[in-house]
Amino acid sequence: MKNFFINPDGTEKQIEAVIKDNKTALINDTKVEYEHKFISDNVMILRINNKNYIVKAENDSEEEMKDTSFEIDIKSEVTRLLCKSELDVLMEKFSKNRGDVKIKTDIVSPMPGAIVKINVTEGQKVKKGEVFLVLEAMKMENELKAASDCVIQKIFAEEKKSVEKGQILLKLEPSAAE
Amino acid sequence: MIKKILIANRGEIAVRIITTAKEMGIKTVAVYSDFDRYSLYTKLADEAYHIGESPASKSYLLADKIIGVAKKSGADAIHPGYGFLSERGMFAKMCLDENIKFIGPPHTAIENLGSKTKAKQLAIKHKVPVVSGTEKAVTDIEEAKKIADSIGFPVMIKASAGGGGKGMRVVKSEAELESSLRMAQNEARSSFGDDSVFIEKYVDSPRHIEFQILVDEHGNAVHLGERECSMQRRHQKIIEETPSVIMDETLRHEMGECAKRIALASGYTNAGTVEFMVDNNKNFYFLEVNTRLQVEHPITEMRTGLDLVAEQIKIASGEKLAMTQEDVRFKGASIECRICAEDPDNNFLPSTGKLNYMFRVLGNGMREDTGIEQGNEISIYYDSMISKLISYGANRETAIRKMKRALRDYKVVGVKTNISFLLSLLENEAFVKGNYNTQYVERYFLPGLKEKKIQLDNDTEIAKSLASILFKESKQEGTSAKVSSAKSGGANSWLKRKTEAYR
Repeated sequence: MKNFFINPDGTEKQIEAVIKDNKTALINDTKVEYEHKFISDNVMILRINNKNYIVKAENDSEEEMKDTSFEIDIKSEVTRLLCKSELDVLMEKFSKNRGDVKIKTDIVSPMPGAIVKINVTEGQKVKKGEVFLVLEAMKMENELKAASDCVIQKIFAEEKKSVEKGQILLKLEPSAAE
Repeated sequence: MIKKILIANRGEIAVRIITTAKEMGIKTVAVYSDFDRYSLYTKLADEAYHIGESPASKSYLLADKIIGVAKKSGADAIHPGYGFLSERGMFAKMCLDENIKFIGPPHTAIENLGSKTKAKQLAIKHKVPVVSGTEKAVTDIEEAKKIADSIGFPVMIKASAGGGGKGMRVVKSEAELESSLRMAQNEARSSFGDDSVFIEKYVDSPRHIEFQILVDEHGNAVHLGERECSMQRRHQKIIEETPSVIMDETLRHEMGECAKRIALASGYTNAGTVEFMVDNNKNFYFLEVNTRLQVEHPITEMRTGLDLVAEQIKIASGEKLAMTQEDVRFKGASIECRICAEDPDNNFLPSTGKLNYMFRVLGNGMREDTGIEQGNEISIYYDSMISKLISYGANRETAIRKMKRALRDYKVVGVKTNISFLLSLLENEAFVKGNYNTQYVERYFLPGLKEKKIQLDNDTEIAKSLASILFKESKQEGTSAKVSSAKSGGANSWLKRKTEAYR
């Protein structure tokens, strides 16, 4: 027996799942029979009550979300799900109590490319949705935007210079105005 | 007849050209950059030559080097594909000088049609409708007023050196004209260092409809019908289809004849595409000629039963067209979707990486043009297209149905793709009714998509929840030491049982 709590991203919903053994599970009190086989690291055939699903999953690219956040693709409809085990929930409570909430302050390049334009300066206050900089890759210009209000602490990126995937571009301090 | 073709391109279009050449018994020569050393098309060709580093400017754009390979390998023709050198008059000229057949129009036609003003003048001369406007640049407000009045509002102000929407302004009435002109000029000056602007009639939310033409070297031309390419985002086509829902026999004939007229007037030969804007009242305006094979050419092939690459090769060999306009038959409906490595949830950012796994089942009525194999990498050097899926059916509904099925059964692991985005477009009411234009995706569809609530039916919710658990568990099996020590025996033995079940 193992308990999990699943939350489809963008909803308030909480789905409770109990894995009873390797062929039965209880999902929101519905008992299901299942079997599955991985056909690659990220793709599996899943049969639930004899109904076929080909499922693809992508992990969250961020380190701390890697084990809990999954993009699940069935029939090319993609849903992001947060899937937590009992242990995850415990760990979360534990770290919250210690006030150890991690905030993302490093903006890294999502792909290799070249910096076309930097719209911000060090010390500048930036509102959610504003464009930090424009990155060119694969013949397309892409805007990197602020996910929340913040202040630019340091800029590492330089215009016209190429960057590698994962290279740090900006360092933020979370906005005090929040 | 041509005996050996060098393909001055890469990826799916190189594969496309090589397959037809092989069918015709013609030898093929591939060229590759560092990145493409073992790409599918290089293995498919009879011979393959390294031409440089991965960036296109150091390989696929090196005209001299490519012509050198053609001579060394004894190729008597070059097919440029699309992009890269395909629309450079210079390259066609170099081929001519080296006595290598360029499979495309003569360089003079590329140059005639390459300049938008020249092409427009040619169109006017041959009674092909164009968007009315100034032929010379305007700087003076009085002159601008006079022109705008004679065309009628709304008008569009466009930087003559422009591109990418910079220096462009729509003006709805005379009251706005002066300030808009000033702003457009400021933008044009700061972006291009040139503040001359044009004024032309503004066509609101037009459709983009293009005509495929074939012209032989003996003055014969046919059109192969239209392609509706209005599903665009930032001027990038997403879905193309033929026929267009707004097309009727009369309009098709009229537009097709215009397309042929402008091609013949410019001295064009080989395959080409004439682009038009079409407004709400089915008025059409000539835009430009693409002097190459288009990405979306397969839908025309499906509906006419022709092989456009074979036609290109035959025309380049000096053959007469085997058909007249009356012989061209249209049958059924075809749709193309471009599957790209990009993330629709993150502003369509290109997604690079290795395609660890691909799973797809084409089935009846589907065609796939791709240059990619499982294990390949999507790089920053070239465009992000993974594959072109092309569906064909007796009618539009069938073609849509087949496409949706194929997209649902298409899985790519390793990079993000636009597959779910394509599916929601195909399921959208505006697409189903064919009621869309070039503004549709950005102005209506994307904003609506963000507001769309996630709705899962009960079965799917259960399947997705269970799947997330199984993926989570499989991830942790690799690093299970730490998990099992933290947990009591329960989880550990559960994991063990699970592993045993798959021996």
